[in-house]
Amino acid sequence: MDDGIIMSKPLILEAREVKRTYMQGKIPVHALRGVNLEIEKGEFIAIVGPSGSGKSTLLHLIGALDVPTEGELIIGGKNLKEQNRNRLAEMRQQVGFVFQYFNLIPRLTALQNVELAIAILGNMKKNQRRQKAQKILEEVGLGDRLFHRPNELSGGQQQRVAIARALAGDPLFLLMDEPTGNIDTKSRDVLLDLIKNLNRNRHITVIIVTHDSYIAQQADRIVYLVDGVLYDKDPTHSSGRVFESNTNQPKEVNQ
Amino acid sequence: MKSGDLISYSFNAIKTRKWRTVLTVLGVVIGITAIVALLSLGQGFENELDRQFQQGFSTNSLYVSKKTGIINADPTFELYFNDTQTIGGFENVELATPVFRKTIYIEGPSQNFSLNVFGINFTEYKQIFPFIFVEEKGSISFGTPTSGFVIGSRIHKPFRNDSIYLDVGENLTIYWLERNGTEIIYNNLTAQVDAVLTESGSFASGVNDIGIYIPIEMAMDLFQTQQVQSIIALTTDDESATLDQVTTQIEEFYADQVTVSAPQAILAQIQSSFNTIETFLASIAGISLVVAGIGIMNIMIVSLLERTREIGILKSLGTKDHTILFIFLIETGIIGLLGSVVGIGLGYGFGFAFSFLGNFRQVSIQNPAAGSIFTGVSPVLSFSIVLQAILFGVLTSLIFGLYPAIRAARLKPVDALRFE
Repeated sequence: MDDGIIMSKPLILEAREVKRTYMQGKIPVHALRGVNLEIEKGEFIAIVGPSGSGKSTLLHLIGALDVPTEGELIIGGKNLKEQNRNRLAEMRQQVGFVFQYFNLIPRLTALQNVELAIAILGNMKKNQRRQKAQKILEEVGLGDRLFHRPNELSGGQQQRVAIARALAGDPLFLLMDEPTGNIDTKSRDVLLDLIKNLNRNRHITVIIVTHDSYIAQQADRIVYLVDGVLYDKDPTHSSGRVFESNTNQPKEVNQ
Repeated sequence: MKSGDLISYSFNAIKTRKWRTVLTVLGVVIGITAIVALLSLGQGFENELDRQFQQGFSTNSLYVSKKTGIINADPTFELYFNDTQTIGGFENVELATPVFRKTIYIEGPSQNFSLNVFGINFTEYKQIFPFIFVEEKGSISFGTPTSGFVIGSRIHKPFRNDSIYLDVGENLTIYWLERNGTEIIYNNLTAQVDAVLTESGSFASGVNDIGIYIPIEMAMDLFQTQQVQSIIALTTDDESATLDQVTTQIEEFYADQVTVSAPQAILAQIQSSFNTIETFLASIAGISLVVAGIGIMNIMIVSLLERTREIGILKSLGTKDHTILFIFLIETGIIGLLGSVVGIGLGYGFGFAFSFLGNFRQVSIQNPAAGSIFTGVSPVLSFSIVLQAILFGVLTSLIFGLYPAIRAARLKPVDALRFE
C-alpha cells in the first residue's frame, strides 16, 4: 500500500459528477450520468448494478483504462482528466485489476504471470521479483502450482493467480470485476474468504463490481448503480425489482 | 519494463509460435543468403583481380593490338613482327616485345581442348612479367634456342588438385589448322615439355595458366607467318603523361588502326563493369528481402490480431505504449537477426559451392578459357559484408515490423480487453 497518497481525508478514490458518453454510430449513449463516490483507504465496497447499468464503464474508469467525458475522477490523488497516455499507464500500475475471465497470459506459468506484473513496474531485480511473486502465490494458497500454466489450473485457481498478480504491484486497491462469475460455488467461497482476509488482515482496499447480491453482501458497504447513477440504497427495491443472487446470470455483453 | 525483461518476453512469445517464426525467418534467410553469396564472391573476385594485376603487370607497360570493331577498323590491317622494332624506337619506349598467339588443340583427359599457343621472346617477356613468367618445374631456356614447350600450370594440373595431367619431360602434341590458299591443311607437332609455369590466374592478357609458350622464332617458322597479335611496350616511367604521349604517338603512326591500352585502364574497366553487374544482381537479391519483409509484416499483423487481448492485459497492468511497441519490434528484430546470421553462413557456403563449380566446369568444357572467370576466386567474407548483411536484414525487418508495432501500441486498453 502506498502511504504517500494520504491527503486531508484518507480517500483513495473520489468521483464527482463523473459522466461518460459513447457514440454508437451517431447516437450518443450516456453510460454514466453523473456518478459521485468516495472510497476510503481500507474499505471493502461493492458496486452493484444490473446489466446495462454502466458497471463496466465505471469499472474501466476506476481502473484508469478509460477517462470520463465530464466530471472529476481522482484516484490516489491524481485527476484522471489531467493525465496523458503514459501517466494513465502509470496509474494503472497502482490498480490491482482482477477480471471476470481471469485474463492470465496463457503461455506463461502462474509464477511468470505474477512476475510479469512486477516486471512491468521495472523496480525490482529478477530474483527479488521471483521471491516476491512466489510469496504472494503461497499466500493465496497456490504454493504448489507455481509452474502450472493457466490451462492446467481450475477456474478458482486461475482467479487466485489473477489476485496474486493484482497484489504483486502493491496497488492502491484491488478492483474486481465479477470475480466469482466464472467459478463454481465451492471455489467462490474460498475466494471470498481470501478477499475478506486480505481486506481485514492486510488492510487492502477492495472494490468489487458485481451484479450478484450474495457477493455484494460480503462487503462493508454497498452502492447501487442504476442507469448510470449511483445510489447508497437500492433505488429499485420500492418498485419491486431486486438484484439477482444467481451467479449463472447472462454475462455482460461487453465483457 | 527493463530491456532484459522485454527481450525475454519477446523471445517467449516467439517460442510459442515456432513454425511460423521459422518460416518467416526463412524468408529473410533467402534474401540475405543471395546478397552475401553475391557480395562475398564479388569481393573475392575483386581481390583476385587486384592480386593478378598487381603481380602480372608492370605499371609502365602498354599493349598494342590491332583495332577491332565495325566502324573505322580495317579488318585487313595486321601487326607484324618488325613493328616491334618500330615501336621500340619511339621516344620514351624502353623495350617492345612481340606476342604471337594462335589457337590450337590438345588431347585432354576426356576430350580435346582448345587453347592458345604464344610465340614470345622469353628474355624480354621475363622483363615484363618478372614474377609470373617463372618456372615451377623444369627450366625455361633463356638465350639458348629450344624446340620444347613451356606450359601453363593448369595444363600441368587441370583439376586444381594433385593429379598431374602433363609433366616436364613428357611429350605433348598440338594440332592446328592452316590455310594454303583455299585449301585446309591439318597440322600437328609433338614436342617435349621443358617447363611448367607458376600459377598466375587467368585475367586479361598477362601470362596465361592455360597457355603454351614457345619462342617467337619457332612460332613464325612453325606457322609460316610474320603476323603478331600484340606488341607490349615498356615505357621509361609510369607517369600518365608519358603513357599518354607514347599512346598517342603509336596510334598516330598506325593511322588509328591500333588500340593501345594500359593495364591500369583495363583493370578499372573490368572493375567498373563488374560493379555494375554486381549492383544489378544485388538489387534482385534485395527484392527477395523486400518480399521477406512483407512476410514479416503479414505475420506480425496476424500476431497483433491474435494477441490483442494479451496487449489489453499488458496495458491493464500498466504497460506503457512504447513498451508494447518495443515488444513487437524486438520480435521482428529477432526474426531479422536470426535470418541474417543464418543467411550469412549459407551465403558464404553458397559462394564456396559456386566457386567450386566454376573450377570444376573449367576442366569439363571444351574451351577452358571461357569458364575461367571464377578460376581461383574464393568468396571473401569481410567484416563490412557481415555488418552490411546484418544491418540490411534487421533494418528491413524493423521497417516492415513498424506498422504492426505502432498499431499494437496505439490500441485502446478497453477495446483490446474486449477483443475476442
